[in-house]
Amino acid sequence: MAKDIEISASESKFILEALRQNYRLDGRSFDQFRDVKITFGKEYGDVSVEMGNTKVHCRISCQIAQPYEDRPFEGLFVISTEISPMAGSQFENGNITGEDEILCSRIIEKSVRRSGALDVEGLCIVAGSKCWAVRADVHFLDCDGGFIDASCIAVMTALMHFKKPDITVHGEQIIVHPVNEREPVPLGILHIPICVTFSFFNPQDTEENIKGETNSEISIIDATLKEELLRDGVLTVTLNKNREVVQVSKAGGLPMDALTLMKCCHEAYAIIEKLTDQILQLLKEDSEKRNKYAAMLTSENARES
Amino acid sequence: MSIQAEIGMLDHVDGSSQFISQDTKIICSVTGPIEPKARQELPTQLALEIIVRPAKGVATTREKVLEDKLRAVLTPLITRYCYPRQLCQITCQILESGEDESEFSLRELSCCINAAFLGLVDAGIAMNSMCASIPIAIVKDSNEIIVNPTAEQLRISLSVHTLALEFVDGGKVVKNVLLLDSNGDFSEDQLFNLLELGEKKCQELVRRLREIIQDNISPRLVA
Repeated sequence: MAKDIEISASESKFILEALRQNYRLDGRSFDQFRDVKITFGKEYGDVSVEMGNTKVHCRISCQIAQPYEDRPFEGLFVISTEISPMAGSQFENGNITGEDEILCSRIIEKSVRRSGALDVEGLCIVAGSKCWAVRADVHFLDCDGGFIDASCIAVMTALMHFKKPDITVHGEQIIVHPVNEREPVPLGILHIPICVTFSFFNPQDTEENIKGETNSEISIIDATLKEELLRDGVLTVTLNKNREVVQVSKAGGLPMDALTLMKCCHEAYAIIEKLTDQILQLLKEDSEKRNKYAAMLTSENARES
Repeated sequence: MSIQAEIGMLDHVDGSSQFISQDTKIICSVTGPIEPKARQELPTQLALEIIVRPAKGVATTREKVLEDKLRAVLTPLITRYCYPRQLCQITCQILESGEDESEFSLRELSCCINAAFLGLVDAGIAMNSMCASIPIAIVKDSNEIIVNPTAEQLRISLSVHTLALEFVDGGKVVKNVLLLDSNGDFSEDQLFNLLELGEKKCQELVRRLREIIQDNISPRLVA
């Protein structure tokens, strides 16, 4: 039976009191994101992301399919975020109706798919009859909070890392060239949305939970599992490096005012800027490692820039 | 056969393991004994919930077959009467399949068996014996028996086999054949030959698995 994790009264009191005194259990400051460790697998589009004890794996795959009738020029893109009991025994296999599961899959869907991060028109092969269907499978391996943030990073990194086989079109006929025959082509990525989750705690009595007049809530970034269990409110903002707010999600919880929201967005921007640079740097290093001889074999002349 | 394995990397489950053999990579988690759902509960024994999840796409009948075979191997290994009315969840997540998923599943199956075994040891579930599993292929033309074949060798194979053996006495004595799953065209002689060769290779593997367990467990023991 999928039982919710219970946290003892003494432990919850301890964590809340520590927060009131500006301390977190793992020694981070309130506005500090955990270090993100990204590793690539052997194949294209195979990415593991570790944030503290949270581990997420993402795998991209593609196949040729028929586009939707009302969208003949667009390819298909699906993100699957199913949580298995591997992440923790509170998750049930095949049960996607849990609150956490739905919230996680909806925010990822909104941030990545509906924000147009992937150029779906570039997936069209023959309008109305053939297109690429790209699939992102997110595997949650270990849950210590921050699933949304970690899976968003994993999906975006994997999409940028993935390469689909090259094709030649002759009228209605298409030839798919195997990877060892022709260099595969990367997907068209239009922007890199990254989620940052804020958790809010109410240091006062429960009345404040409803009225929210004093704005004295404690706000922390990238909560761990224990902090997630105890929080009174949660806000997930998704931004990209162009300073665009992709989505903001605050489903109930502690009331907060607009200024706090603005402050959160500014804090989040500093984090996503750093993360975007880290992802791009790692992708560059990986592609150099995979293609050692490219620099040597290229016919391009040295240019003055 | 060269393998890499790691034990206890996941924090929110009772036991976990990662098993890598060539291009196949499996991560396995074990949670138990925990309270089962009413329909899973067995009055006198430990119930097993086995989940195999593919690297790409949703789980299909192919994964259900893998789950079924994995269950057949693990059931006799576990001392199930020790945990009546309890449940043990075993989740295998395939990270890299290392073979053409549309045609084969033997590499994934044998790695799942080994990973699940290590996971069960890490979770501290009582077991009767050890087990080790290897994939085998007989290739075209040369009729050579290849243990732990690559994806390329599978493509030119006539028949493929998964062998899982049960070991007792510190991994020295083969007690039983837990699984021999064969597919393709082969003769009786070939089958006996590959069983003979497979036994030797399984014995090597079980020795290696014991080493891995020892390396991982001994630092945790207080002298």
